[in-house]
Amino acid sequence: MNLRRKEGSGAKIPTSSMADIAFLLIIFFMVTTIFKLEEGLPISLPRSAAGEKIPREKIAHIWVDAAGTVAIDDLVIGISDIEPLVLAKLRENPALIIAFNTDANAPYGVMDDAMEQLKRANALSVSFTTTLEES
Amino acid sequence: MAMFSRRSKISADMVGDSAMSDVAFLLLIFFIVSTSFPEIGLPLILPSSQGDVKQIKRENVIQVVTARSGAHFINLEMEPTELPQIKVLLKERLAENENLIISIETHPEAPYGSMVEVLDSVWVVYDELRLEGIVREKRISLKALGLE
Repeated sequence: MNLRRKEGSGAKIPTSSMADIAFLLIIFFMVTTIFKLEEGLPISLPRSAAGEKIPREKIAHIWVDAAGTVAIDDLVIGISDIEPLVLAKLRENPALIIAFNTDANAPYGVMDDAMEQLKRANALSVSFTTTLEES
Repeated sequence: MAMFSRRSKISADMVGDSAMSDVAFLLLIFFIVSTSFPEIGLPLILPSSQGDVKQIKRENVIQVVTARSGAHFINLEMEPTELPQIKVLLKERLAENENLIISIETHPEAPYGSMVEVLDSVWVVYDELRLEGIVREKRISLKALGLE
């Protein structure tokens, strides 16, 4: 009599942590997939003392490296391709902010041309991504 | 019967303990995920290309020009000005003129970093003024110097 009941109560313990394991797996896969979305170009961002937090869900990035190479969504593109690509993105999300992830040593002329393209696409809200200086 | 009831009590306690670490991990992972680092940037609204061209009075504009070398000049003076002095000057001018437009003009071959340096200083000046109770609308214009 006693032996049988002992077995019954012993079997309940592993099933209770099963749900936790399932949650852990779900969260693990969520986290790993988010981090692989965008890689961009290798750059070193300029530093700044001021700056604002910009909500990630409103941002589309334009990457410019030190040699002046431009990339959107991991695609290396020419400067004149910015206008049609940004127009398409703006149609999906009119509140879009274009964030420039530009290397501090990139020539300013490339940035000026890129901003000229944005003006033509009517994407007027931009942000220059920086790393905050600890002061 | 007495023995059985004691055992079931013990096993009930043990379930609570083992789930404790899982709950702790879940909380840890939740906070790691929810505190994703916000991006820091200097936001700016570009002028529309369809907009009208406005005439602006000379005294309402201050030019900060960055040369190819990355040196900064104010109002096309011959001698370069260092960033701390630029900040002091901008602060004075902004405090006395609420319509002041800061025109950041950069040589196309100058490094982007030196333009951000100026833009950052302008932001710091606006922030400092706001702390002193002087609220100014941000009027910043970005421009590339023409190659002549």
